[in-house]
Amino acid sequence: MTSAEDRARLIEFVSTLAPGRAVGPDGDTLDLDSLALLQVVVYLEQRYGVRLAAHRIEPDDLRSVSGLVSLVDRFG
Amino acid sequence: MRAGGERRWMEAARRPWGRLLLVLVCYAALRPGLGPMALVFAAAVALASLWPRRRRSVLSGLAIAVCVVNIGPKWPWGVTDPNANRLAMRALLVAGLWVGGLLAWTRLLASLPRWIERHSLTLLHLGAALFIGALWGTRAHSAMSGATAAALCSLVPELLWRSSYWMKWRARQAGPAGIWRNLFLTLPFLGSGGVPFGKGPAYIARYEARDGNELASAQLEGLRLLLLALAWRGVDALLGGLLWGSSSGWLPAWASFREPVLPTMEALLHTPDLFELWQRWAGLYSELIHAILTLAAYGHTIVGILCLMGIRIPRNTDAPLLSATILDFWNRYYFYFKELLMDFFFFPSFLRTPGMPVLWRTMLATVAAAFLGNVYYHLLMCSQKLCAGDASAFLSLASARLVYCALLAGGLCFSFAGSLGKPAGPRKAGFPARLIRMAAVSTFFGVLHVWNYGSEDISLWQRLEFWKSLLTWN
Repeated sequence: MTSAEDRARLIEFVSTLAPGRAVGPDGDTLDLDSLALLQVVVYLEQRYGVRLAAHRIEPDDLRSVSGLVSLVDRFG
Repeated sequence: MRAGGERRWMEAARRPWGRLLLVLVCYAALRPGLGPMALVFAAAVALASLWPRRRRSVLSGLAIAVCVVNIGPKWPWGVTDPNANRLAMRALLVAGLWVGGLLAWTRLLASLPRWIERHSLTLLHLGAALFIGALWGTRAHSAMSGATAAALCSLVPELLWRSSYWMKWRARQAGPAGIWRNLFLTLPFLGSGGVPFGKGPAYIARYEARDGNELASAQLEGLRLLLLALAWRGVDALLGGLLWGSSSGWLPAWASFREPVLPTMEALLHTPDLFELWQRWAGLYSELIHAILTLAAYGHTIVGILCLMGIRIPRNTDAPLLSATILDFWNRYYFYFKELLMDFFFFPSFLRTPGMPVLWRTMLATVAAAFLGNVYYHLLMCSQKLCAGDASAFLSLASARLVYCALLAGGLCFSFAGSLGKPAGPRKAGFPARLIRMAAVSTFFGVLHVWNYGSEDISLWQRLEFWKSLLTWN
């Protein structure tokens, strides 16, 4: 299980990608463009040292807070 | 104030008379574009409003009905062309076999060998290529007419990308598939061109209304979109009438000029030297606006219908002329096509190169999507020319689209390179600077559109000559 700190850090990071929108851990659909998605991928790869291709990740998995949190739970 | 107004509309949309009004307006808005089929769509919206939990089953029934009407033979049999009806029966049979095969794969997936499961998407695309090859070969040996081969070939892009999203979804799903309630996502019943609006079942599930409030909100958005589509069609007709003197059912004859003010793109491409430099540029921008209006009206109608059914997916076209970067324009112009390239080419390429610097990974993924994926999509679309036995038409179209894809990929790489390292999201810029950027981005797409415009009648050389004429004073 990932620590609450990890989740908070992730939400803080995602908030910088979707400025002007309140991002909470409630599964809100994020309005992330392609560039922001790449930044999320790089963030997850660098922070958790995982190879996302091996986990059958789809872009839509990264477009909701709940999807991101479940990924962090898997990798953490 | 605005929230209060929205709430009142939502309350009205939840009442029986509000729903009835919604269905009537839906019918009235769809009637000019869809003709009598508007009644079938309005009936589906009524059923989905009455039984929201059954909306997907209603959509599946609607999809089958629309496909049979659009693809199948025309009745009464004796009155219409029997050859056309025989061809329609074959097309219906091929579409039925394709979807039947997909559903069989869906059911049997767990019992299939592991390598088939792992490479299902590749096998699907290989099968599609073999099918096109078989059509081409059969026609070449005179065992099938060119028209039949082309008509059957045109089904491939319509079914292929829908099937691809379906396979992606199914491969990640542990439980039963729920085939009937998702069947509408395998059938080309909304629009044409092969791009699936709403992608696959997983995407649709994220945007489906879960209660009465969400349904009312989605339906109001759907109504807004249908009315907006009507408005854009009207504006486009007005533009065509005033600028090009073209008449349409959307504009009274007196409202269009007899003499065109600007040359059409067709005229510009065939005889650019007959026009002044300003006319060439004005014609180019007008054509871009016409393309955007057409796509916006088309996309708003499809997304609007899904919203009315309670599935509030994002808009397909969202004010692309306001974009200050090439990347943003691409995102706002044809959202679901961009998503298709993202899902099947960009993202897989980006994920498979974790060791490379981010800039190189991004460039590689951009080329994979905007060039290779885009070329593949367009080749599939052009392949019916090949099946019809018109190799020169195929080459003319394919070469123009190849240039289009290469230029687009170059533009997107440039835009990505400029954006990487900067914070994501909308950037603040002064009004004049933003206006200059918007004009530059629109110019890029206007100039690019020359290679994605029109039919095979316009040769590569004519497109290039027109490009040259944009920089030449008479």
